[in-house]
Amino acid sequence: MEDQKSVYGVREFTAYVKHRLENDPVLQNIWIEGEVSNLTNHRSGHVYFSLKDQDAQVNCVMWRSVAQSYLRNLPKHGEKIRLRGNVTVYPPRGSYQFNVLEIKKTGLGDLHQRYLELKDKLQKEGLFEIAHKKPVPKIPKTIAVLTSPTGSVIRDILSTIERRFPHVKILLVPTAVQGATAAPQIVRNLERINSHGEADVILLCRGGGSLEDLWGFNEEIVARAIFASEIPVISGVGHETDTTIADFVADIRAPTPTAAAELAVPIAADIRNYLKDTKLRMANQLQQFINYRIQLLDNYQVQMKNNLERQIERKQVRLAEYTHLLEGLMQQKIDQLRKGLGESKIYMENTMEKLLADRRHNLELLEIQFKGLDMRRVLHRGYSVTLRNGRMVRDAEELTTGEQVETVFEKGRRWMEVKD
Amino acid sequence: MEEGFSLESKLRKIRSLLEQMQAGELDFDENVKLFTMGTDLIEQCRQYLDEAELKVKTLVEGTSGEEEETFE
Repeated sequence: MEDQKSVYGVREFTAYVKHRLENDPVLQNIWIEGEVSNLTNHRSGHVYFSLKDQDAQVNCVMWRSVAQSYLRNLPKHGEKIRLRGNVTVYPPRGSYQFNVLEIKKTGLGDLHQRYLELKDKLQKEGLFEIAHKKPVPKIPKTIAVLTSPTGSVIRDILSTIERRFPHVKILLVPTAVQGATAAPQIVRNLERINSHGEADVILLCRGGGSLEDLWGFNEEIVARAIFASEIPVISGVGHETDTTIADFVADIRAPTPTAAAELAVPIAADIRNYLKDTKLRMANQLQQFINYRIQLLDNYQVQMKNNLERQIERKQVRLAEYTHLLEGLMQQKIDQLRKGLGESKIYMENTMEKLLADRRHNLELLEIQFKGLDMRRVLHRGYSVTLRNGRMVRDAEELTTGEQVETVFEKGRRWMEVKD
Repeated sequence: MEEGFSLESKLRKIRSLLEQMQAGELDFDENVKLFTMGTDLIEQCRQYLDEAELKVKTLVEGTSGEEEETFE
């Protein structure tokens, strides 16, 4: 059973502790050293943070009056600092806190120091160089999302992708993104995604947090695994102000997980517009090509036509010359012929006249003779004419005995028989 | 459009016909023959291009149609 005298109320107890701590010369106006963590610059002007090392931490408060002189130079997360101040107790919470009076920066925190050293080393090796950045497909078919399976990050990523480009397949790869297992898990999952080979882009994401929280993304093995990944990696770790080593090595660094999702997929409507634009541009291009070709054809046609026309013209000139020559020659010939003809005509006329005169003369002679031979006058005088076969018989020797002959008298005819 | 029609090879052919004509070493009959061939080829090319142009028009009109759908 407790001794009644040793039982205190909470307030009394706390008041005693407060009194003891705040009056202990060792705990007053002393210097402590550690890394800054979870710093909050409260609206009131008071600044709260923890000072920590690997094994312990102290809650610190810096009242506005003190904080004012450090406003432009507040300690940063992970920064190693030295604080002068007093230990005080805050009875409502029963907690003690370090009331900061002065800050001295002693250099960067260990983690931050390691971060800077690794960054420097990998940069010198060329892991961050743009030449090594793999192009990220504009329209991925499959996206591997490497992040914690719970929490808002995965929800934001999925909703962003769904909203922008629902046609893509998503491979969720649950991965620890905090604590000691984070780095090895990230490395192993990156390797698995690569050997699986289906994804054409990898999102490596984590929400915001302290330098310690994000530390997995600052490990060298993670940096090297990202660098070794055949599949392009988009990183989206923490908030905009956090840049991890993973961000530097990644093919694209997004400021946040949501931004990473936005970078991974296009907006479907944009693609449709792009395709439409492209179609129009191609059509215009083709139209222009057609126009040029038509112009060329027009040109050819005109040239050919001109060429042939010139040739035809030349031929026509030649033809005209020939024609002219021929005409000249023909005219000459005709003239010659005509002249010849004229002469012939005169000759013929003369000849004909002469012939006609001859004939006329002969005719006259014949007429006279004919008149002299007029049969009727002879017959009238008492002569007769003997016809043998219709022809006059002048020689008795022509006739043979017993032959029938016809004798013509002035009046009438008689058939006679020849006697000796 | 004619299968296997090669606009460029036909254009080359026309160009070579033209060059032959321009060289002026052919007799007239040959020239007329080349001219006829050239005119024929030019007509073929024109027809081909007309058809291509029509295709482009159809494409573009098809596209603007889609646009209207999108805004409906």
